[in-house]
Parts: sequence; C-alpha cells; structure tokens
Amino acid sequence: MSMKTKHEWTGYRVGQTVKRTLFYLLVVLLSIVFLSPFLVMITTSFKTNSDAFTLPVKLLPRQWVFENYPKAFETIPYFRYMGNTAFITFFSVLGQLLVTPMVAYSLSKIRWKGSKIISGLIMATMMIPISVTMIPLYRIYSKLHLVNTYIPLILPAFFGRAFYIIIYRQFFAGVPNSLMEAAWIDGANEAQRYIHIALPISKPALTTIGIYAFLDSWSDYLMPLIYITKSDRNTLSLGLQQYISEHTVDWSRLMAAATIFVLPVIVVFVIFQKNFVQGIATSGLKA
Amino acid sequence: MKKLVSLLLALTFVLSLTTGALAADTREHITFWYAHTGDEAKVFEDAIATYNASQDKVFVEGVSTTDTQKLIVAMSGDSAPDVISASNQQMIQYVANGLLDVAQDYAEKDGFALDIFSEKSVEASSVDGRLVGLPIEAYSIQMFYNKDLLEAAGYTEPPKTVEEMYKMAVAVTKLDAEGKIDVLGYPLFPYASARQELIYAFGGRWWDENSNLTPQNEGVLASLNMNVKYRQLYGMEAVDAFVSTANTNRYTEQDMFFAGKQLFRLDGSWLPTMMQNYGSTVNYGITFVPGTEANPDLRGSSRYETTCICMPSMGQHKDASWDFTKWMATEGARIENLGTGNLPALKALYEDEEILAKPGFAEFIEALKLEKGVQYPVMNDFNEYVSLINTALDEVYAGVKTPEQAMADLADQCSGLN
Amino acid sequence: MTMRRKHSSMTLLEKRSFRNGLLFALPWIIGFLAFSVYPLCMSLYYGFTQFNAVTTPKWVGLQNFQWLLKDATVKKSLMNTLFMAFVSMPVNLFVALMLASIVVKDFRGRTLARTFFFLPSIIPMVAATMVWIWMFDPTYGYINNVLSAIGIRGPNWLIDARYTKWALVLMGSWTTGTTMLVCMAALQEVPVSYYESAEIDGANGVQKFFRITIPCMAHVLVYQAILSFINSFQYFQQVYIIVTANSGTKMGASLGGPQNSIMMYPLYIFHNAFTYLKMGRAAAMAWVLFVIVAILTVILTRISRRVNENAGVE
Repeated sequence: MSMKTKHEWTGYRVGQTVKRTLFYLLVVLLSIVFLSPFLVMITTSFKTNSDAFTLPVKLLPRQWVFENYPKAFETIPYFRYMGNTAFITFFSVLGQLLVTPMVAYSLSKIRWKGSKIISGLIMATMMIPISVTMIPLYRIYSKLHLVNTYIPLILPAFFGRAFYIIIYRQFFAGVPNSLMEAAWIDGANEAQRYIHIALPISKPALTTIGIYAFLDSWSDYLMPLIYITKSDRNTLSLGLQQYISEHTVDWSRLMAAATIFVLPVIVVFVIFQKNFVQGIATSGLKA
Repeated sequence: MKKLVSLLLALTFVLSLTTGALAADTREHITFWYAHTGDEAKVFEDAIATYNASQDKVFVEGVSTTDTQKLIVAMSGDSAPDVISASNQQMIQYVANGLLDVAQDYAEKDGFALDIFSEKSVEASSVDGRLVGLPIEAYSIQMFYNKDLLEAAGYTEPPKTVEEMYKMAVAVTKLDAEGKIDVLGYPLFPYASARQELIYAFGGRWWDENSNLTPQNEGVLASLNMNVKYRQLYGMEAVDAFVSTANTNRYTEQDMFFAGKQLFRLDGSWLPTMMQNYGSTVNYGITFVPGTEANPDLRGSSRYETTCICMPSMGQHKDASWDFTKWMATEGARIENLGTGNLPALKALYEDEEILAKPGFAEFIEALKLEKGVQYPVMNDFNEYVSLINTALDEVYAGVKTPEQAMADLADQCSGLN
Repeated sequence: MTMRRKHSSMTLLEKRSFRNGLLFALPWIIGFLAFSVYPLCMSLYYGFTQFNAVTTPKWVGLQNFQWLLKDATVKKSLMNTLFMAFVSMPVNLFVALMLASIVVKDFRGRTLARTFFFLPSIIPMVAATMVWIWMFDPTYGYINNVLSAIGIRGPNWLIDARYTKWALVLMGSWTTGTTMLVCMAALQEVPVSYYESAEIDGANGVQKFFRITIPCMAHVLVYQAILSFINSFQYFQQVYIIVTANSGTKMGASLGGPQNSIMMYPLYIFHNAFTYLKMGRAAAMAWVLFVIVAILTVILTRISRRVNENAGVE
C-alpha cells in the first residue's frame, strides 16, 4: 500500500517535471519564432550582400562586416530624416497630451447632457476609414498650400484621437468620484479640479497615451506618403522605402537601415514597458 | 514616470531642432526631380553640380524620387518641382492631365533648335506633334545571351527566331536535384521585357498606331502560348520561384544574369555598365531581339522610350527652369549618358568616341538604327491599361486562364479606357 | 442617478456643468467637425464628380457608382479585404489567446517572454514588412529554408496568388501583441474559484478552457474581434510596400500583387486617386467602404451586446 503511494507520488513528480520542461520548450520555441525577424534583420545587416545571397542560407554572417551601417547613413540623410520624424513626433505627442485628458475628463467626470452623445460619436469615428477622409482633406490642405509642410501630420493631434480618449476615459472611470467631490467642497472650480486633481491622479494614463502617440507618430507611413513629397522633408519611414528603388535593392544595407530605424522604438518600449502594458490591458477590457 | 516622459519629449525636441535652415543666397533656387537612384543618382548630382558651377544665376537642387505617385501629387500642388525627368510614357499621361508645360513653346520663343535630337526621340517625346520635354536619353531593349552556356549546349550563334530561341532555352535550362531551376533558359525575367519585347518578337502589340487597344492580337497569343509551354515543361512553381528570386536580387551583384544563371536576358543598354561595375565574369554577347520563322523581319523589335527633361506647369521659376532644362538636355545629357550607360538622344553623341567606347553601346546604337522601336499609345488611362495587362498576364503565367481566355477578358475590361 | 428633471429647463448647476463639459470636450468637437464630418460630406459629393488633383470637380451623376458595380478589380479588392477580415481576425485572436495563456502563468522568464511576444507589434510597419519580404524569398528566405529542413517544400509566398494572402495572415499573426495583453488582463480577472469548482467536478484542461475561460472572456474577445475587423478595412501599408518592392523594373508588375491577389480595397482607392488620377471614383469607392464598415460594425456590436448579456457582464 505504502509502496504504491510512493510510486504514485514519484510518478506525479516526474509528470510535473516533464510538463514543466515541455512548457519551457514551448516558450523558448515561440520566443524564437517571434524574435526571428529581428534576428534576421540584425544578422543580415552584418553580412555582405553576396553572403546574403549564398546557399545554404545561414543565420550568422560567414564574415562579419560593419560597412553596411556607414553606407546606410550615406544613402539616405538618416539624421535629417530622424530630425524630421522627431519634429513631427514631438508636436503630435504634445497635442495628444494636452487634449486627450481634457476630453476624457469631460466625458467621465463632468455630468452633463451630451456626454453620452459625444462618447458615442467618439466610438463611431473609430470606424471611419482613412480612405474616406483622405481625399477631401488632401484637397483642403493643398488649397491652403500646406502640402509639404508638417501641419497636416501634426494638426489632427491637437484635436484628440478616439482611441486615446477611450483609454483615458477608462482610466478616469476607475477613479472614485469622492476624490473629486472633496475638492468641490473646498470651492474649487472645474478647471482647478482638473489641473490640481484629475491630471496628477492620471499620470499613468498620461504616460500610456504619450507612448502610444510617440509610437504611432514615429512609424506613421500613410500620412507622410500623401503629404510629404520633398525628399528633404521625408520622415524615416518614407526614407526607408527609398531603399526599395526601381533598380536595385541592396538587402544587407536595407537591413542595416531598418535596424537603426527600429532601435529608438525598442529603447522607448523597454523603458516604458510597464506603463504601456498596463495601459493596453485596461483599455481593451470594456467595450 | 513623468520625468521620463519629459525627458523623452525634450530629446525629440532637441532632435527636431537639428533640421537646420538654408543659408541665404542670391541665386534663383529651383528644384529638379529625377527618377534615378543609387549610382545613377550620383551621375545626376554630378551633372547638377557642373551646371551650378557653370553660372551664377540659377542654383539647382536635385532630388531623387522614384515614386511616381509622389511626383503626381507634388506636381498638382503648389510645391511642385520646377523641372522633372520623366519617361515619355509618363509624360504622355501628365500632359493629358494638364500637369506639364510644352517645351516646344519655350524652344520656339528662345530660338532653340530641336533638330539636334534624333528624329525618333523627338517623335517619341511629342504629343499631338508638339515636343513636350527635351529628351535626355533613349532606351531600347536587346537580347543579352550567355555565350558559355550556349556553347556548352552545342550552339555557336545566338537565335534569330523565337523558335530557335525556345529550342536553345530548353537545351540549356538546368534543374537541381530538388527540381528547382538552376539555370533559366527562356527570358521570362524581367517582367517588363516579358510583357513587351517577348510579345513584340512574335509581332504582338498591345495597341495599334491609332492607340486602339489590341490585347487579342495574334502575336500576343502566340507569345503567351510559348511562354506557357515553357512554364509547363518545368513546372509553374519552379519557374515562379526562380523569377521571384531573380526579382529580389535584380541588378545587384547577385543578379541571375550576372551570376551566369540566365541564358537569355532581354534588357537595356545599362546592363553592360552594371556588369562591369560589379566585376561580373560572365562571357556574354548582345544581339537583336529575335523575330519569328514566318516573319524574320520582326527581328530587332523593342520598346523605344525616352527620358525627358520637362517643366511642370505649376512650377514657379520658368526662365531659370528653361535654362536648366536646355543645359541638362545638351551638356548634361553627355554626362548622364556616359555615367549611367543610357543611350543618347542627341545626334552629336552618336559619333562621340567616349560614348561609343561604353560597353554594349555600339550594338545598341546599331539596333536603334533599325527603327523598329514600338511607341507608346497616347491615352489618359495608360497606367490603368498596363495594370490590367499585368494582372491578365499573372493569370496566364499561373495557369489560371488560357492565354485566349485571359486576353478575351482583358479586352472586355479595357473597353472603357480612353 | 441623482439627476432630477423638475422643469424642462436646466437648473443653474446643470447649466454650469453643461458649459464646462462642452468646453472641455470642445477640441474634440471641433476636430470632429473638421476632420470627420466635413470630409465625410465632401467625400460623398466628390463621389458624384470627376476630377484629378488639379482640375475642379465636375458633376457626373451616378457614373462613378455604375463603374464601381462593373469593375472587376473593385469586386476583387473587396473580396480580398473580406478575406483578411474573416480569416486574419480569428487567426490573430487564436494566436493572441494562446500567447496570453502562456504569459499569464507564473514562471521564471515570464516578463522576458511577454516582451518578446509583444515587441513585433510596436515595430514600424515599413521596417517589419521589408524584413518579411526578405524572409519570404523562395530561394534565400529563411521561411522556406526552415521548411525544407523539415522536409516541406515551401510555396512562392509573394508571387503565387494562392499564397500571397496567407503570407499576409502569417505576418499579421506576428503582430498580435496588443490583443495578447488585453487577453492576458482578461484571463487574470477570471475568478480562480471557477476553476477550482470545475476541478472538483473532474473537468480536464480543455474542458476548463471551453467552459470557463472562453465564456468569461467572451466580451473581451468580441470587442477585440470588432476592432480587428474594422482594422482589416484599413489594410494598406503592408500591401503597398510589398507591391512597390515587387514591381521591379520600369513598368513592373501588377499594382495589386500577383493576379491582384493582395489588392486591398484601400489600396485600390489609393491607386485610383493618386496613380490613375481619378479622385471622383476613389471618393465613390471610399463612401461605399464607409457604408459597408458601418453596417458590419452595427451587426457586430449587436452580437457583442448579446454575448455580454448572456455572460452577464455589465
């Protein structure tokens, strides 16, 4: 009897160990799969072009070369484009940070007729395809001589974006009203309550929105594609596309350029990861 | 966290300030957009620098843009470039949409003689008998062949007819152990040549002289049927895999022809220059695009395209732009032709020793003299037509439709174009 | 609700709240009028006109809409887009849920794994797409080389019309990080007691998953499905980049990929507007898209409401 129990017990432990090993194996495998494009990008950027086109295909370079990086900087005015992209990103983030909390505050912390309607409309704008508004907006900007400036890329940020507002509203919804009401008794007006209480309280949400706006603006492609035609005003994403030119694609150099384009994004993500993950997690929970 | 956000913002702000302003300058600034990239763009920059140094009234800023959408968008806005380079087929579309000034108007006012350009290039660059842009280069397509591969298969001469070409292609095509194509015989890459010269060789035409669309032309069908026959022989997927990779490494050091993996290649006069630059050791010859057994006269047929320097109508600095346009089409053209390996449009350059010494030029200029260039039709919806053709060809290549079916459908689809 | 309606007019407090609320929401309202309402109306008007980027719109009546019904590429691009919506969406949800159920577990290296799974979704699409084009090459690409190492002969991903959309689906499933995080948060909210009582009833892992996990997360999944569905109708960047890269030499390949197999509806709108210079047509197409998305969203929202009611969640 006792033998059997002991046997079962070891069996259970062996089973657990096997399960555990299998689980880790799965995690490692999936991690490799999800990382492989990055690995490919980085290792190819250290290959010569002829190495990249030699069979059998190997992940690591047969011979490590670093020349693709200086060449990549040479082929497109990388720092200029990075400056352009940073300029656009800076003002877009600024705009979103100013407006998003305000609108979200109005919708969740001020009780007024119309907040329901506005909320509904905000949700509705999320389903308007860009293609529908693209042509009329393009015509307006072109009539105002604003094509080839950064205005069309930055201006919308100062009027809020549905997705961000919804995340922010979600955050405010979780803040107890009693906090706000305490300040009301002290005779503060709405603006004071907003600045002194709502904003400081919602710092985590502010960070999340900031990162979102940063990432969206940094990698935006369609808007610059439509509005920026002068190559010295290109953003990085457009500049990268220049690599795939009509004649030649130098793949290893392309991968070097892609790597230095992606790097700032990864750095920002790693720094703010915690906020970001929390922000997204709460945003999607309620419809 | 707030600190980090502000740090991030500050960082991006500092970066954004690095985009400096241009220093003041008394010269008239104009912008010139050209569609060449990479090494060819350097040649354009050289030419522009030469122009800027040659006088002190106009300063040209060169911009390399291959994206035609961007060009169209830019030309229709107020930030239009002052001067652009465009292929004659693009030019025709731009004129139809009212985006370009007519160069001949300027030339007549200025007393600039147009007979310095070859007749063919003037014809190709005109719409309704008026020269729209000044031709800077011409190009046509000829057949390159790998001599060693051909000899190994027992042939000493390149093919004169498509029937011969097919036989040689089959003799040379080599498969590896897995059934993948190692050496491609039939010239199915580049796509653009498969759609044009490989069709013209059979007497096929996508349009007639009056710009009527003729996708069901007999020559088109004959060409496609031979194409399909070859594909079926080696398996559509094997052929596609080869062509796909050929497209990935086109015109790089590893280009299939440069690496000795393609027997025939219908391509342009820039190819020898590229091969020289990459140090390719392939022993190649250049010959006319073949004709058919029934009609050997078709031999040497090719598209005939020009690249022109033209002035968008929305551009601002007309006088300066015209001055640069003139210069670029004459003195600049020589620099450009020598550097990029494109054929001249200026008659004087046909006798220029340095030009004739370029690899392959003698053969290509010989071909130009045959006067078998196929001109593009004058139509608004040309881009749309090409796109429809491409889709129909995809269907034929993939074996989804027979050539007859696909072309009948195409004829149907393009009936509304004008 | 403390709001009482004494008279039809508002109390002073209500008036003040109304003013404040309106003021705080004003930026968005202005933006809504300028960037949504106005373009929507103009777009509808443009749908009945003919113009290019330079000319002024000329009224042509229903011509654009007639063309739209007739044109084979419109139909094809719509089908391609619907394919992405209906195939890519469930695949992405499945992958996200799978990843979420891994990272929700407590194990060493959990944060690292989560970072790895999430990283792809923040990578600029241009860079990511180019890497994928490179990986999809039939001869030198890693995907087919890995496949052939395990004895499978990979297809010509980006050139064979039967596989191009699947290549896009594959690319899409790589960037499901956001959905994964949302699913992860939802998984954490499922009460542990449910699982415990199920265990007492002798339910196995699969049963627990379908009887507890899925129903508890239904509302989240449906909401994510709607979002992903709407996004499918915006599918543009990836295909635009693939097609530009593939077009090769002058007068290259189809604008919509092999046999137009990845011609997505927004891409065709873009080409009509900026390649063929037919902005009227593009506007007509765009409005039809808007109507389709609106109808589908309403239907999906209805379904989502029903799911929520059944699950008894808020």
